[in-house]
Amino acid sequence: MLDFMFIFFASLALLGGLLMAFHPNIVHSAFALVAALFGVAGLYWTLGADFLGATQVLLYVGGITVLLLFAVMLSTRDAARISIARYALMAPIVGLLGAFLVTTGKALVPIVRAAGGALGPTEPTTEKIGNLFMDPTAFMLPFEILAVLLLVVLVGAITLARRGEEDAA
Amino acid sequence: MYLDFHAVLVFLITGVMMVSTPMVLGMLFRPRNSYKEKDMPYECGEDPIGGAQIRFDMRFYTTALIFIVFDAEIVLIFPWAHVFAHHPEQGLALVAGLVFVTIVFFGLIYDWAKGDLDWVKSFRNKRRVQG
Amino acid sequence: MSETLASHLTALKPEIWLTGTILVMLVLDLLVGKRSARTVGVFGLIGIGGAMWALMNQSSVPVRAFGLISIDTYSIFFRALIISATGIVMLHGMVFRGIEDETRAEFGPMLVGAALGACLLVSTDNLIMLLVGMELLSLCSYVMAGWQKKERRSAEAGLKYLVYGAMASGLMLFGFSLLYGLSGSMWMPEIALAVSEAWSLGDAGQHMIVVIASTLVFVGFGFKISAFPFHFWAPDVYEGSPTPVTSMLAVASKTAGFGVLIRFVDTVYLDLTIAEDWLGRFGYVIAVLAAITMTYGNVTAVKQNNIKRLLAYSSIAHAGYLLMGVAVMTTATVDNRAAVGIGMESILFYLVSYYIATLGAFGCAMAFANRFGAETLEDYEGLGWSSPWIGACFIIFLTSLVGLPPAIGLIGKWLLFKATLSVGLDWLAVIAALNAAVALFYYFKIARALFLRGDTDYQEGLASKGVIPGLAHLSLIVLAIFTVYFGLMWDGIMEWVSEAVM
Repeated sequence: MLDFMFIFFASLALLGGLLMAFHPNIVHSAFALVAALFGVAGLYWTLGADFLGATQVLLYVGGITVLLLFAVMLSTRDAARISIARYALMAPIVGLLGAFLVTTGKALVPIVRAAGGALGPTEPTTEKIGNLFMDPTAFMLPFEILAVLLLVVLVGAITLARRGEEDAA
Repeated sequence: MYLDFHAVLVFLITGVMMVSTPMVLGMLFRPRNSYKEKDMPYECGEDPIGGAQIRFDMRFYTTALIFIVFDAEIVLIFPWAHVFAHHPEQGLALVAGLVFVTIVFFGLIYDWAKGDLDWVKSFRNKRRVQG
Repeated sequence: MSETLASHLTALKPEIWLTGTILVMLVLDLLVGKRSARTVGVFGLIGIGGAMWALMNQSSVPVRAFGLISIDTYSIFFRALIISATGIVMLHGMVFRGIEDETRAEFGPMLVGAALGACLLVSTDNLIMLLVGMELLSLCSYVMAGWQKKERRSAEAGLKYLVYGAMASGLMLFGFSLLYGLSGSMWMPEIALAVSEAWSLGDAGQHMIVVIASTLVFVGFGFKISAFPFHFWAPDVYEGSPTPVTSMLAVASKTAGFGVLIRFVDTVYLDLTIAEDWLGRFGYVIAVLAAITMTYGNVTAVKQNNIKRLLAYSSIAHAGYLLMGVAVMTTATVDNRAAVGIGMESILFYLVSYYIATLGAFGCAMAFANRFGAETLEDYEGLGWSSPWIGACFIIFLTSLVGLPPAIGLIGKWLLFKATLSVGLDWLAVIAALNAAVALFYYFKIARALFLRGDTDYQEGLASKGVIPGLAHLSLIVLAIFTVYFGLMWDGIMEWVSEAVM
């Protein structure tokens, strides 16, 4: 069952990614990205990272793609079509990167196994994360600092976008 | 099975099925006599002009931006809400959560007061520029 | 429990001041209304002053706060540089004409946010906190780089910085995840143990993981300090950003980058490099990178015409000089263990000299841009005679950057060269010396444009009147005085630096 799930989500991620990269219409690419991101969320689930998977769905599948689509819709229609041939040069780089990731992953698996880390079913993580956030000697400080980060993003991004809107209007 | 996600899986499959079943059934049973007018959004209404992918108002983007930030806030606050009820040191947990929410709340107040949450503002701007 | 919480919070007083400043500035911006920029700026300066005061009152006895932050002399040193630089940049940001008045009030919170991130970045030895601090610093910097939205170059700078920066953080994060996979911990000392073990006992696969993880982590840090080959963003971003932001990037961001890089190298790799394991050659890689970085920066700077771009390349070159110190730390061996301390001291001292001179140089560039709209070498011709004070200050800062007496830059270079020779990296010292000669050439070009060219046509500029512009100019003069004063009496700085290294 787990193998089936892995194959399903991995192929979803892979096919979505390929479709995103090669589809000539950028709006359709954005929808393909939804599939790819959802596949990645599924991979997190099969690895036992339930909170991370949910985050992926909530933030990336639900949020970032909407933002991306709006960004596409904001641009002119000519920009919405891109030729793939221009990016053909990237192919060897991408290939190298892929080979690199595969070899690193392969080398890492036995090390993690030996260190006692489990690559497989674990108990739910949300509660553990919550407890770490609430523990002053664990990750309470990063938790609060992330609030500051969200605050400056809220102010900064809106300030930049606001003026863009005035230019456009 | 696996974690508590079988419920989610059931929902997923049900959701996909509910959309795909009628589509597949329709594909199997409907008569096939297609002509060009049938592809239009309104068969017996206005003829559409131009493409569907028009340029959106910048407002959509700003709103989506604010949405993402609060989306991220929810993701971070969710584990806190999950453990809060049973946390051994509830006072500390309460303070930690409150500090977090308060800091982000300043951002909400800021955007609110600056009018970034008003949809109408953009129309006002437009009219000013055009008129 | 509450007692320990109180002690945690006391240890983080400067950071709390900074966070409070961000909130107060935002609320003030809403309350004061139309002409809020000035009020907000003044309160920002007060807040930064408060943070600085809290920092100076911190005891030098090491404390751990929230299990992630170590408050020691090292972190106090770096945070002092960062917070004071932020104060000066804040002051300059209040007068810089490139920033529109409608958005000047929002500029302050961004700046202080960046400072907060940088402070946490240099104080932590936990990778999670490191990442959060670095992201806070980066996000604020991206926004600030694109602050002049009506300027095409600024928008381009913001976008470029964002795209490359996100890429660099992504790679660094991947490196972190490999280190976590190796050690099962996010804490640097434990990572150090795991790395040493994987290196001495592991097979080829484990060696590969260590090498790849180290490289990826170095990409993230190298990006922040703009070292070759991760420097390519720097010229465009430095040129396009509003000038105060440029000095923030060149000084605070780079200082923070070095702060975290040195801590990381010191904690994780030093045992291996001292034992002269194969990873001992890591130091030679850094030495080569240092040589390429400084040569590239200096040689490219020669052809530049835009002052900010020229200073950007010079700042890349200085990253190269600073990397020399890291190379010294990592090539030290068992018989020469003291070289680690010497290398670190020389970096920290050089950072102080770089900090003063670069803040000043960008401040002068801002003052000239404000008054005359001057950006290129041609624009600068004869400006020294029009505003002799700023011109003179500029000359002093350039003297320090090139490393001529009587400025503090000379002492910094001298210490670095001495450290480099002490571990037998003679070739690196020779390259650095040649570089200093090249640097002299292009710094002299600015000086020549300022005072030796077109001295007859005095240009009329927009003089800024008022307390705040006066303070901004005063800050330049004070920095110039520091440059010379510490160039003659560097004992105080030296003491401070060696205390920080302990």
